[in-house]
Amino acid sequence: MNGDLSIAGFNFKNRLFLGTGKFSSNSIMKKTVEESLCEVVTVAVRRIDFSNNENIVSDLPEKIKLLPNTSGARNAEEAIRIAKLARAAGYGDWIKLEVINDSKYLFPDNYQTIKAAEVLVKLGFVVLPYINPDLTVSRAIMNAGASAIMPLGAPIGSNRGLKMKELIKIIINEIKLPIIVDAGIGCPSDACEAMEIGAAACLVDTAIATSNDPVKMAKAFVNAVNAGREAYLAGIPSQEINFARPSSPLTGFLYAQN
Amino acid sequence: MKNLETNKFYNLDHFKKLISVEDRAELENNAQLAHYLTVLNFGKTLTLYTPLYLSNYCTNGCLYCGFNKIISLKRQKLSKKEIKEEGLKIYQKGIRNILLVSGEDDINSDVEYFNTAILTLKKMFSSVAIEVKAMSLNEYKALKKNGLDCVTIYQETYSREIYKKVHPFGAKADYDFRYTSAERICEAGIRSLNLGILLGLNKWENDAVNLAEHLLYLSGKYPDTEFSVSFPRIRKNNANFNSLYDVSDIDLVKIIISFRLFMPKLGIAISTRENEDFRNSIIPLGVTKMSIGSKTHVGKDEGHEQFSISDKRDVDVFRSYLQDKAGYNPVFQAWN
Amino acid sequence: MELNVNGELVMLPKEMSIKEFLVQKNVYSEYVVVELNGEIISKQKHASTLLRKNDTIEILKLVCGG
Repeated sequence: MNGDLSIAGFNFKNRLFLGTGKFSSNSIMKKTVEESLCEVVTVAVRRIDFSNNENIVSDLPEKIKLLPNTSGARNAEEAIRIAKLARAAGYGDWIKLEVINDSKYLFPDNYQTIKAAEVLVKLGFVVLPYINPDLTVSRAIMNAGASAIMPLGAPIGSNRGLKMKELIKIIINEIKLPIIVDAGIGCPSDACEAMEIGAAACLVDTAIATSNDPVKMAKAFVNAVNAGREAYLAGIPSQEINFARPSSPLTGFLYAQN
Repeated sequence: MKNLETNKFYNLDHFKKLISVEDRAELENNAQLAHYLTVLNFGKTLTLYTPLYLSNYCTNGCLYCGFNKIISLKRQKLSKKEIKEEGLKIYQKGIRNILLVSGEDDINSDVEYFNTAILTLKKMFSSVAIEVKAMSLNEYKALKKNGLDCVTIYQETYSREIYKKVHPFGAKADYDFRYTSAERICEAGIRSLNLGILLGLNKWENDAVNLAEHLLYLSGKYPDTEFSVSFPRIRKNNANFNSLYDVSDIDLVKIIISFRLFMPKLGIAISTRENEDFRNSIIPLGVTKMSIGSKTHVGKDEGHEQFSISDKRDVDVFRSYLQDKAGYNPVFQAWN
Repeated sequence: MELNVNGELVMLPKEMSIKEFLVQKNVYSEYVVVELNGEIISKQKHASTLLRKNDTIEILKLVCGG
């Protein structure tokens, strides 16, 4: 389909991916997913609470693509284990690879992420790794066979603004994979900004889940993502890289043979 | 595409480098940057205007000019009625920017005459510009009051030596009065100023740099004036003047590109001295204004032109070309 | 019989299948993931896989999370 985001054979119209953590209640989370028409949501793998029978997955709209993450993993080995567990839940083989062993900034461990990605791809997973934006790392991950790259937009907890914008721009320009900006998107204009520079999608959790009205905020984010995407496709004139080059040389006429 | 070095704008040293580019690939790269900058600042548009020659009476002896005092031709000027009629003809072609041209003769075409012309034509045209003798501050102020919004005045050459040679007599021989007109025009609050050099009088590189320097000075001192430049190449006319220096197509292209990269918002105006194909080709390089449907003689006196016209296209033909072939939006009215 | 379930020591009266254990705990088999002694046991095998003394079992599910 034209205009759809395509990842591993799945097509998505909505380029806002939703994180399901930190909502004040499951029912609000469910309503947010439904009313925002998001098509991809992240979930985590946790030990069950025997006193709580709730299965959030069954609460979600049927067409939703679940993107389990490996949160909790501090190295490649743990991430691989969690990925396998997630797959065993039976909702597909997509995995958001997240390896964090830095408790101060919560930066992902790029090196461990590459290692895990290499193994998981070979095991047949559709791997979407979360990384600290770095071109060399992105290349390694792409070569490993990942299906997308998810660079963080800004350190978690930093002030407003896509701090990693310049690095993300470079990755978008150099890596032929969907680049999905994750983390650090604090408001709709951040998401719009990410889309304007060519991101394929944005993953947003905290900014929506912890707002006073998550349903409304999610819709605002969808609008922002759409606005940024349309602007990117139209070709923002001030972004030189978008400028359509004339198809023939402008000074060729000076040397034309008569 | 090499990146735009925005810190090199308004930089005279960089301008000198730009005009010295020899490598074809580098020139093409600069052309692409110039194109990008022009579209960014002006869009894909081209402002059209037509000159109206009011009078060929002239007391100057400019060697290169077809109206030179010593040339034998029927001297005439348009009456107020004729100005209105000629203006109407131009107006009916769709043109809304008119440039009034006249030789220098204080008896036949004095400031009052210009005032009358401006007042008459301001009713029809949204922009009335003049290309006439150098005047005083008060004269410019008076004309502005009557609706003059643009003045074209070329230094012709910034070399005093050559200037003296090609202007043997007449008021125009005064280099300094000519040179300082630009400031008086800005001082008078006239909205836009078109400066220029006549290519062929001097080594083009020298005059280009001097023009750039002049612009730099003026735009710094008068930030609210709109500036534009022109670089007509000397063409054969009744003056039988031979260009002292050759200026090739490549040279002119370098000049256009360099000025664009020097001052991103500078207007660049090209007349019908240049031929159709060349004019078509240079539009994307940074040209923002072009005359069309021109005749450079007074009234019905064909054959006695100030300069010979090369691009003889009709306004409609040119408009068609712009819209259908070039993908440019012809602008007839720059402002209301 | 002693077992380690989700990191806690649990006493079971007798050997039973994973399925039986889950039913006893009021957990629906369909949406949990079971890892027995480090190995994932697929849902189809829950009924036929027996829990033995000193087994370590992890029972997990997909939950809300960013």
